[in-house]
Amino acid sequence: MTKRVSFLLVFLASQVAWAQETVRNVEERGTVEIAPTIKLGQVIVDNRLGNVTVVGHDSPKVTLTMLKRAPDQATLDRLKVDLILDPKGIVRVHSALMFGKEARPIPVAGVRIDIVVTVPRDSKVNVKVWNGLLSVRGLRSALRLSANDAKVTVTDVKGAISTSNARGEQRFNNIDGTVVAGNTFGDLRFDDIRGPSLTATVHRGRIEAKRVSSKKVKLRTTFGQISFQGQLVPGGRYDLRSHAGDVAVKFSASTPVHIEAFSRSGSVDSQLDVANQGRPSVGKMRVVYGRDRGRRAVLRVSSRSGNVSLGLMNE
Amino acid sequence: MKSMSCKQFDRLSQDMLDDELDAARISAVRGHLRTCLSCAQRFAETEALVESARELEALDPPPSLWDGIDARLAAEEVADSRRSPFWFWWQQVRRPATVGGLIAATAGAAFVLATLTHPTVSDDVPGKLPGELAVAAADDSVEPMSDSLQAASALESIESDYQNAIDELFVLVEDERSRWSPAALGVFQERMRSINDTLRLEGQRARLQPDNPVVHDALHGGYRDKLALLQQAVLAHDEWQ
Repeated sequence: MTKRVSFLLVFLASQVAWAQETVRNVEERGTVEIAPTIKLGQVIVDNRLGNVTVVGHDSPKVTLTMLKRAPDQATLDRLKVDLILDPKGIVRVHSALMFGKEARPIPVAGVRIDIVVTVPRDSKVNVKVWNGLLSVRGLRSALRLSANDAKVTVTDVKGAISTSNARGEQRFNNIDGTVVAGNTFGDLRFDDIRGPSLTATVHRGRIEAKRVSSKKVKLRTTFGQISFQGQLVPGGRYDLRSHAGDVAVKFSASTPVHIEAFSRSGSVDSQLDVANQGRPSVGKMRVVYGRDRGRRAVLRVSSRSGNVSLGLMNE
Repeated sequence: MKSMSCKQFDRLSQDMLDDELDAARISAVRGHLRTCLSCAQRFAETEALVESARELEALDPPPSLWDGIDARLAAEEVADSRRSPFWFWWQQVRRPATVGGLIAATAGAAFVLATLTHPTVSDDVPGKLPGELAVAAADDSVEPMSDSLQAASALESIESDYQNAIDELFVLVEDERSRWSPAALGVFQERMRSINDTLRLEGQRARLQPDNPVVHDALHGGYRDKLALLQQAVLAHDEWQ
């Protein structure tokens, strides 16, 4: 009997609390637009309180659209977003929760500010978020992103990109430029990457890179698999390493490729036609693939305890 | 809640050095140390004097272990330094008062239920609390502790993740370092020392504002540098050379 009463009390309390939470959740939308008379140098967005989306467009204007959410009106009133253009052409978007007169960008449960910024395509962009989603698309300039626990998506960018994230997946699609991406925990996925170099490091997570034609590629993961599909170009350097994960490479090449593959406690399997140049020994392989004429590409693949496999891409 | 004053700290710090404080008060004293540089300096000097007088030297924990523990304790200690005297008293009496506590909890649950069944949001002004509570809520200079602690907890969680990854890599490095040349080992140790120095400095700054992510950015950068160095060492794979 006592248990039934206790259960009923807990159930009633949770229902009332849920109903009040629903009633008290409030939000506010707003849009701000500026039309700078000077050329924009950089757009800096620092929003630790929610999602950020940055979209490049063909107008010189900068538009900020925000959606603020809070459990109650009083808290909503404490959420602030600033948009500042300084004389050097730097636009700063900054969000905070007010504590008295002090603005602090601290993430708090139940409080969110989601921001969408449209900027001229050639603006350099620097974004910091805490968690949630960080999405950038349509830019033609350099990009720097940092997050702690976010899903990062970068699409259709021509320019150098640098990202860092502690937890969460990162995806890159249709990129022309140098890419340096770092994760501690979470997968990294690349599709259609061109440009001088691609560097990706993750501690625990998988790296998947396909349709890559960058000239220098470095992929590193401590605990995770690496899957690479791409075109190896003359003079290119491709260095793929995992400590405890399989590394699978499929490539196409119009140039000879010097291949070094190694696994300490796993195997090295090759589907390449290297019969005339010696079959790979167990755990180790060193060959030149293709007619040894022209400038070589160098492909180095290794895993401490995983398997290494090499093959050609399907034409 | 008002923080511990320097005068209170002076009184308690000597007791702490004499090992006469309970865990809760020790935490509060440490919390004050993290927010008051002059007391921290004075205490460090006194502590060094006491340490040097002891016959047996204490073993230093490995830096990685200390960093991890330190980061995890920082938020709790700063919070403890803001607690009321009642809280410390409660820590001492709570075990004997278990039965009383259960009764109080039951009464508390009944109160919460009674409160929930009455509207806490006034009908005419959304978000405003009725009666006397409204006065307290309107004073927004009073920082809600829960907000600050939530942020500190989130930061602590991220820093704990970094530390876990670093600890994992250290284990792997230990397996690998026997294969390194003395020169490579020297380079590694030198770079590690430099990164640890940065981490210590940034860790001190971060502990002063455990709930402010901006202040923690540089600390996180230091963690990433350390991860990069360790991963580079682990993945050297020089067997194919």
